[in-house]
Amino acid sequence: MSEKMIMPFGPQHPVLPEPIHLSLVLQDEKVADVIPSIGFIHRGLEKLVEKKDFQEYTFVAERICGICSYIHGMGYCQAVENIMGLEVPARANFLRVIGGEFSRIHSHTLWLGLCADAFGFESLFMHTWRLREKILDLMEEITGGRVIFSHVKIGGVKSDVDALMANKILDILKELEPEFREITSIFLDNRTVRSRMSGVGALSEEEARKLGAVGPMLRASGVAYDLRTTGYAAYGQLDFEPIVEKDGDCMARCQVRIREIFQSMDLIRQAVGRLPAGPIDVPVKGNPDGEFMARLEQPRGEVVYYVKANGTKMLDRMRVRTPTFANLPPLIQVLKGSDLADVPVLILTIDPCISCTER
Amino acid sequence: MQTETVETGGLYARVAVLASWGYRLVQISCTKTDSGMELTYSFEKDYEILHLRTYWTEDGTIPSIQALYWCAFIYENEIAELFGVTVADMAVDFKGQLYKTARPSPFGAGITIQEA
Repeated sequence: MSEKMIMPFGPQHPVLPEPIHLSLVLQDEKVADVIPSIGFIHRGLEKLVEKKDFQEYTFVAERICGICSYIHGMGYCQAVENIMGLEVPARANFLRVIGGEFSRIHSHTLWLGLCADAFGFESLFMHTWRLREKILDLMEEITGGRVIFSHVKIGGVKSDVDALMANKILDILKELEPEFREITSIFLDNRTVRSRMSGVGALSEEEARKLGAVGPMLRASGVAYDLRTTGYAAYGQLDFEPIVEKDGDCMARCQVRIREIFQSMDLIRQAVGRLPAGPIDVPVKGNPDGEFMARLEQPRGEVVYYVKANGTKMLDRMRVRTPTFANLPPLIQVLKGSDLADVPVLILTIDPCISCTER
Repeated sequence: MQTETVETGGLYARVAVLASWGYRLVQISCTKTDSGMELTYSFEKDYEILHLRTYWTEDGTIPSIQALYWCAFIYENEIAELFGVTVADMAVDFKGQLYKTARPSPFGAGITIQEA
């Protein structure tokens, strides 16, 4: 057996869209241990609450990440609304579900493309992102933004969806669903894809729970945990079950995300179909005083927003525990004992968002 | 938000009870107070969340809970590096190398944002 050596992986690496550094302790071609280090792009956004008005901070919260921006804004607003006792109108809650689920579709589609790119299937990557563009176009029409949406605000949402747009959403989903089925069938059935992901990086149900895994990483290991089932926004009025797979490997994580794309389409259809009439926001009076922890299901998993307010415009504290941060210990676990060649795919299957982690 | 306040000395024992009941560690967070830091440990079971709260002063230490929740290393190293909280007996201790910060404890007591 050869001596151990340390191989640096990142912060710049073709498979990493954002910087994280992993020191891989290798024995031959096997990973014996992993030491992560982060902080390359840490922006100290949590600290900014000391200088930003709590309403202005919604824009900062959205900028924690360019992929999960919609749900970041939503989580922060939910926490503040809870402290202030604001009753968000039913229509705004349904519109938040629509925005949140489109956000999930575009995030999962982005991941599928990156995953195809990671194992060298370039044409699959391009076709996947072609579909994602159509989702982004539609989000731009609904909210006015493609990356930062600024749709959610404290007390509701900023823009409505009229009957014409509602029909357009349904038409585009009808048009896109067969295309998504065709593209995702390659991920599910192609022998080359399966050979790179099946049986790789398996995490048991017990390990996933113990290591604090969240989102598709947790559900792929057989745990039916999805915070949307707690009924926040309008999820309590929609019919769905958490998507769960049993194998716990890279393929299972991929399957969960693919099935969630179609689940999101279904949730959007339900939300559009049941969109109640009424206002889309309520006025915000006074300043928040108290504390609250909001928990939501982002595309990458459970996200936690802790807000502590003191009755002034400036908050005492805003803390975000992002899903990627929670998924770092499980990632270290699945990397140990893996082949060096599988490391890029393994890292990708937690769907790492370093921008979120480096909030 | 319901929190249960525990003495620093009793934190480990209380967390051990939650671990034996099957609670999952959700997060550990830190908030500045006049005399030090307020720490919130959040645990979840069957979607119900439970928060333990304890307080740290500059001359004190917080017990590590990594023996009960190995994944706590990521949160404990974070509060140690960003907030300057002293966590005793960490099994996985990055010794200030998890975050590559330009200055020690950038979120710590007495640090304020400078105008650009």
